[in-house]
Amino acid sequence: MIDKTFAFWNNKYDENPKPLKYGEKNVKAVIGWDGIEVFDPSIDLIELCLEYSRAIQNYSCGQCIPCRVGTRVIRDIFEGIYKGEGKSDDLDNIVLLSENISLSSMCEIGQSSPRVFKYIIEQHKDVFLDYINGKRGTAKAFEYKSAMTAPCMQACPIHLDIPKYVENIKFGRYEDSLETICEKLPLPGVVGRVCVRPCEFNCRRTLLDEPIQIKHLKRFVADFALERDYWPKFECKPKKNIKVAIIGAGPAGLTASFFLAKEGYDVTIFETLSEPGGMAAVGIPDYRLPREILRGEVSEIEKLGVKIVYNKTFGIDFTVEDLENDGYRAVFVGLGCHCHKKLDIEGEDQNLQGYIPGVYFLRYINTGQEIPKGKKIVVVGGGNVAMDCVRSALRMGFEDVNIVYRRSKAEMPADFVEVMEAEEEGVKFHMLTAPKRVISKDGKVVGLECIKMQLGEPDASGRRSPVPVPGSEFIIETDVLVPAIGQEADISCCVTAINGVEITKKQTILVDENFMSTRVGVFAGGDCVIGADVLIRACAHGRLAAMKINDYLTKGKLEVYDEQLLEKVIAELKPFDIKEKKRVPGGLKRAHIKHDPPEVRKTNFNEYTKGFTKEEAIYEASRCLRCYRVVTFAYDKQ
Amino acid sequence: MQIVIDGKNITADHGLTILEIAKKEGIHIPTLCFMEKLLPIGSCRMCVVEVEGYENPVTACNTPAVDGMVIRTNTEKIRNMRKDILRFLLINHPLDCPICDKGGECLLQDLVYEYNVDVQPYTIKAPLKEYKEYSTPAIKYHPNRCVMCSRCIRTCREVVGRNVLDIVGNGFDARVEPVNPDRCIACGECLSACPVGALTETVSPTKGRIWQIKRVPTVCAYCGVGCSLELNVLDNKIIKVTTDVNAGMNKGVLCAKGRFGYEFVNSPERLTKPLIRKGNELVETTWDEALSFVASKLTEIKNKYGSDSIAGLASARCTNEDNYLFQKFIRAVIGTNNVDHCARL
Repeated sequence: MIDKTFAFWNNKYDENPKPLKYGEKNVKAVIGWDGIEVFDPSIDLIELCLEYSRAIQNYSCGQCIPCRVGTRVIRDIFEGIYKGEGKSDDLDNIVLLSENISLSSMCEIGQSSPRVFKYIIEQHKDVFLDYINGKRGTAKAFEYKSAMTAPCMQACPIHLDIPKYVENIKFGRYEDSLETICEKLPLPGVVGRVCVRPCEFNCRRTLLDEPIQIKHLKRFVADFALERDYWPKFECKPKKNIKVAIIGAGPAGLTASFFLAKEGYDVTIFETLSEPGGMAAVGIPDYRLPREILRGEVSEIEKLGVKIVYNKTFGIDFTVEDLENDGYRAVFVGLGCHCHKKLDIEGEDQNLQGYIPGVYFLRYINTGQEIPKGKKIVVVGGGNVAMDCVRSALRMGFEDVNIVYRRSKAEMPADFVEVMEAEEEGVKFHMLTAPKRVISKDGKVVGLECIKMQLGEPDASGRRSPVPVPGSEFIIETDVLVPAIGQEADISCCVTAINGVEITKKQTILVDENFMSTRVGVFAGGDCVIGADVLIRACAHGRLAAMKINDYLTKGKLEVYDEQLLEKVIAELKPFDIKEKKRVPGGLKRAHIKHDPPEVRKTNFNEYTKGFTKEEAIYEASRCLRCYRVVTFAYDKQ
Repeated sequence: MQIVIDGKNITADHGLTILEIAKKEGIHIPTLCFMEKLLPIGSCRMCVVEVEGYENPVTACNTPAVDGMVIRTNTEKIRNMRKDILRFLLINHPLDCPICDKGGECLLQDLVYEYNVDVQPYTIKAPLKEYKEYSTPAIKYHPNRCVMCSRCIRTCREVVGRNVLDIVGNGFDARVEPVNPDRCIACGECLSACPVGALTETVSPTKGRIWQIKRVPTVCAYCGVGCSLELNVLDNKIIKVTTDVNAGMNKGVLCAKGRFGYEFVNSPERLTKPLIRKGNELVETTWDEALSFVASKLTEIKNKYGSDSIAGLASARCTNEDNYLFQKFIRAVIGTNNVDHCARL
C-alpha cells in the first residue's frame, strides 16, 4: 500500500496531482513515458507495473534488441513477482535493465518507457518487498487501459500513425507508407500539400535541430503512387444494400464516404458545385493544390462505388425528408464554411463594384468566373485565406497587392511559410493597421481608410489585442477590396431542410460527441459543426462520423469510442515538452524543399513547390526519432 | 569537418556516418544489422558509440557525424552495453552451433567470442518458436536462431525489390515471415544476407563447414550476364554457391539459377558419353563413331537439299571459343548463315 497520492511526471514531484477522467470514469493511476501519477493510494503498484510492462512488450516493434528482448525480461520478472515467485535480486535486475534499455534502445518505446521503473522501485521498495516476501496479487480492483501515442500523432487531428509511415519511407517501403496513411485518410496528396501540419509543431526533432518535414513526406508517398499508377487496393466489405447520403463533397464528406463505402454502404454524395473537393477545390488556389491531385484522389474514392451527384443544392433542390423518402437511412451533412464575415466598418457595401469577400474571390478564380478588375487590390485579414487571396491576386495580374492586418506579423494566424513566400512574391504588408472606412465613388471602391494600431494587453486567445493610435488615419487607394477576416457556415438551408435540427449561436450545426445532430439519423461534421477550421480536422470528423453512422445503422446505438476518450487523457499528459533534455546529438538540417523562384511562380497558377526525390525523402525520414510513447492507466470498473 | 574518434583528430567529409569515417580510419566498430549495400537502420545497437555531452549513445551506422563531435567507440560503458545486447540475443537462442550450417562464419558467434559473453543471467518464459514454411522450399527459416537484424527483409526490399518478408508480431514474439510469399522469386538474396544460421539452404544433401570446404571463384554459366560466384566445394563436389559482395559486376547478387541451380554438375542423369539412336533405343557409343555418323548425315543432307536446309543452334553455356568455332563450322564447312544460340531472348 502506498499512503498518499502523488505524481512524478516530467521530472516534477507533486503531492496533489490534478485528477484525470477517462470519459465519465475516474482515473486511479497513470504510468507512462514521463513518470507515474497516483490518484488513489489503494492502487496495487505491482499490478500497475505489470500491466505497463505488458503494454510495452506488446507495442515493442520487434526491431531493436534491447527493447524487444529486454522489456520482455522485465515483464517476466514482474509476472514472477505478481505470482509470488519473486526473488531477492529481481528489483536490482529491473533497475539495471531499465537503465540499460533506456540508454541503448533504438526508439522512444525502449528509451522512454522503462525509465519510470527505477523511480518506482527506489521510492516504493517496501511495496515490492511485500510481494517478494509472500504477498500475492488479488483480483483486480480496477480496469487497465494502455495506449501508444507520439507527440506528432497526438497533435494530428486525425491521429495518423506518423512515426510508422515515416519509418516506412526510411526503409523504402513507400507503398506500405501510403497504406498506413490511407487507413485513416483517403486524401494523402491533398493533405500532403495543404495541411497546416500541427504534427510538425509538435515534432521532438525540434529539440535537436529542426522538425521533420512530415507534410512533404506524405506528399512524397502520394505522388510516388500516383506517378507509378499504384494506389492501395482498398477492401470493401460485402454490400449491405443500405443507402447513405452525404451532403457536400468536401474533405469531411469525401472522407466519410470513403469509410462508409469500405463498410459496404451505397453512398451518394450531393454537391452543389460542379466538381468535387468543396473548399479544397474552390477555396485553395491551384498553385498550392493542383486540381488534378484532388480529382485523382476523389476518383480513387469513387472506385469504391461512391456516387457523386453534382449541381444539387441542399435546401433548394432537396431536403432531408426527400432523402429519407428516397430510401436513404442516414445522412451526413458536411456543408463547410462558405460564407464570409463582414468588416463591419463605415461605407462597407456588398454591392459596391470592386468589393468582393475573400472566399468568393478565391472561388471565382477557381471556377473561372469573372472577378473585379483593376491594378490595385487590398486584402484585409491575416489568415491563410488572406494569403491565398493576395497571392492569387498577383497571379491574376494585379500589380499593387496589399495586405492589411491589425496586429503584427508574429500574431498572424497564417502559416509563416505562406507569409514568407507572399513577401518574396512582392505583396505589401501593412501590419498593425486596421480598416476604418471604405471609400467609394460612383458605386465603386476607390480606397480604404486605415488607422495605425499598437499592441496592448493579451486577450482571451493569448494574443496581444491591438489598440488604435489616435490621429494616425491614412488612406490606401485601391480598385478592389477583399475582406478575408473569417468565414461562417451557411446553414440557413438546414433550418428548413432538416426538421428538428438545432443550430448553435455560432451558426453551426449542434452535434453530440457521436456527431449526430438533434435530428435522429442526421450526422454532421467539418466546418459546419466547428466553424472555419483546418482541412485535416474535417477529414477527422468525416472518418469518425462514418464509423458512428455504421454503428447507428448496424448496432442501433452509439457510443463514444476509446480513441475519443484516450485523446483527451493523453492531451492532459502532454506528450510534447519543448523543454525536454536533449539526450542525443542533432545538427541535421531538414531536407531542402525546391521552389520555383518568386518572379516565375507569381505569373501563373502552376504548383511551385517541388516534391522530394527518393533520396531526399529517405534522408528526411531517417531524421525521425520515432517518439512513440506508451502509457497505461487504471480506472474505475463502473 | 573536424571530429575526434577515440582521441584521434580526424578531418572528414560532411554527410558521412560515424561508422564510415571510423572504417576509413581503421577504427573497428562492431556491427550486426549493418550491410554496406543496405540503408543503415541501427536496430541491432551493436555499433553504439558515445558522443561527448550526450547521455544516450548513438548508433555509428546511421548517425552522420557533425562538426566538432567527440566520439568514443570503446569505453567500458559501451562495451558493457554491447555485451548486454549479446546476452539478450542469447536468451532462448539454441546453442546448436555444432550442427548449424553457419558455425565458423556466424557473426553472432564472432561477437560473442569478441565480447567474451560467458554468462547469460536473464530468462524469458517463452516456448521455442515453431518452424513455418518459408517462401521458397530452397530455404529454411530457423526462428530461434534469428537475431532479427532484418537484413533479409531489407535485402528483399532494397536489392531485389520484391518485398516478400516482414516482421510479424510484437516484442519478443516477433519473427520474420514471408508476408507476400507469392512475390518470392527464390533468388536467395535473403539467405546470403543472413549473418547467422537463421536462414539455411535445403538444396544440397551434403553439408560442409567453412573450414572443410574450398571456395572457388567462378562465373555463372547460366546466361550472358556473367555473374561472379563462389562454388563451395567439398570432396570435389559442389555443395553450395556463395558470393563475394566485392567481386564481379553483380556485387554478390544472384538469381535462383545461379544460387541454387548447381545440382546438374554432379547429377547422375548427366550425359557423359555420346548416344546414337539404333531402332527405338539410344545406345551408348564412342566419340569416333558418333562424330563419323553426324558428319556423314550432314554431308548427305547438304548434298541432297542444299546448305540452307541445315541450321545450327549453340548453347549459351558453352564458352565464347566453343561458340566461335561452332559458327565457323556452320558458315565455312556447312555453308549457311543459319546459326544462332539459345541466349538470344
